[in-house]
Amino acid sequence: MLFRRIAAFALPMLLLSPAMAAIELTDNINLSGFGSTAISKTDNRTPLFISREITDEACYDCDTAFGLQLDVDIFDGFAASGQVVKRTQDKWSDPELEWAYLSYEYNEFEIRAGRLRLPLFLASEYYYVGQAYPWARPPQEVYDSILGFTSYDGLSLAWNYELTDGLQLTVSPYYGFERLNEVDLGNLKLEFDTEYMAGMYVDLVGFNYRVHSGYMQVKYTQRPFPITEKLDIYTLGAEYSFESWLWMAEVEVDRIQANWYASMIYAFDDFSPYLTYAESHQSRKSKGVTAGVRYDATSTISLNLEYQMIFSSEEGNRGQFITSPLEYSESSDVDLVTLSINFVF
Amino acid sequence: MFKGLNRLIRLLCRSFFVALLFLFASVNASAVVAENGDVEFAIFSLNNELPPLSKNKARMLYRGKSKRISGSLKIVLVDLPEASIHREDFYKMLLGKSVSQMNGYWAGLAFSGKGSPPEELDSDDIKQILKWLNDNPNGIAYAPIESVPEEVNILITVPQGE
Repeated sequence: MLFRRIAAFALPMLLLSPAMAAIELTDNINLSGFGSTAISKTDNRTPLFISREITDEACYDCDTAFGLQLDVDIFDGFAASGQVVKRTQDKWSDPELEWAYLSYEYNEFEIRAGRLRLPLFLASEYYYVGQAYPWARPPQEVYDSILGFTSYDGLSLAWNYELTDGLQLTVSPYYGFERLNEVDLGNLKLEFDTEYMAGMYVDLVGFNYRVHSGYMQVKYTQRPFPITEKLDIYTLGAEYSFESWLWMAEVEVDRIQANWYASMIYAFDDFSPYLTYAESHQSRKSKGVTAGVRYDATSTISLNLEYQMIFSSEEGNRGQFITSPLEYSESSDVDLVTLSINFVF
Repeated sequence: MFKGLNRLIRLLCRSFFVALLFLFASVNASAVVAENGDVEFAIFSLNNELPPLSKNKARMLYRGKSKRISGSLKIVLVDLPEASIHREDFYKMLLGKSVSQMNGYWAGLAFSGKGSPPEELDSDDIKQILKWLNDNPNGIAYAPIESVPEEVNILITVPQGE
């Protein structure tokens, strides 16, 4: 099934690219992939984290994600890219086409059309690639704030302007057309008829830092309710690395919630211990600390071992669970231990 | 029989001694490099139209955060093999990052559609580097400065540059 989808996707791409010499063709086509899996266990029967649903029974596939990406250089500035991902919530037989777009780059401008990744957070664009961020999972307080939706179908424009030799400004507006967004919360399925998702991000990028600010407005109707709502989402994040240190912090604010985290990572050669503190307010109410270590086993394989404690700031509030722990007559606090492995190829 | 054993032992002793000498010499050599930061790198091209790079610009290019020089010239990078000691030294010097940290960054860029990691050569032999540069007119490479021929266009030296 997976392969059929990949083939269905890859074949038109192959046919689209101009018939050049066979060597040229392979030169311009790049297949790469990534994956993560983990053993994770909490001390609470209430399923923890949207789309992962980790409980007090050791789970071997709650965090399993696997993706394949195909990049094709068509000609002079034109390129195509596709990514098929078995997300943590997907069955292996039913992966998701996470992105598929055509892009055209002309000097400082790049336009993309197709299925694209929502650029709300620092790590949004490589959300499923464990190898690319220091933790076992991006902090859920922030990354789960929009129920884990990661893509839109539409257009984006990016303008990359070099302010100085060492400082680049990126301004990127985007517009996503009507679509249905679905998410499962345990046995409950939430369905949103999204009329549009429109937004913009502005990045300041230096060689050792990045400041990312995002804004998005989404207009949607949640089935089966007839009320159309608008939600404005604001995000701000920064990462800064100095010598062996890396600091990251992000905040997300909208009408129904405010969330943030701060994390620091120190690299001793192949071992990188890290510490993250995070808070959620309003709709989810929790505070959490994560301590972990990442080990770079080879240049393409890494392991994470982490311990996370999440404390509820209001008894019975959902916090980072998928539902109120009262439904399971459980404590509102939870500890989580994770051993994960990540790879890219 | 004992004669044979004796000879064997002597042979073993001698080779052990020679190996020790080599080991000592190589430890010594690497100690010198580490202490003085002796290796100086050149970032260079065979294209004489490429302008000199500032240290900031070189860092932006090697972190994959910038792909162009002078706004429109698209630059292609090449990397030495992963096992090359020069690669480790170069990234430590220019960016203060280890090879595994760099691999993590490139994974982030590649899987967010923002760039692909530099092509990797099979060996860090200067002939291979020059051959690659010859095939890639907008390509830039790095190598220890003493191995770089005079006629190339040196864009910046590391760590001395700027």
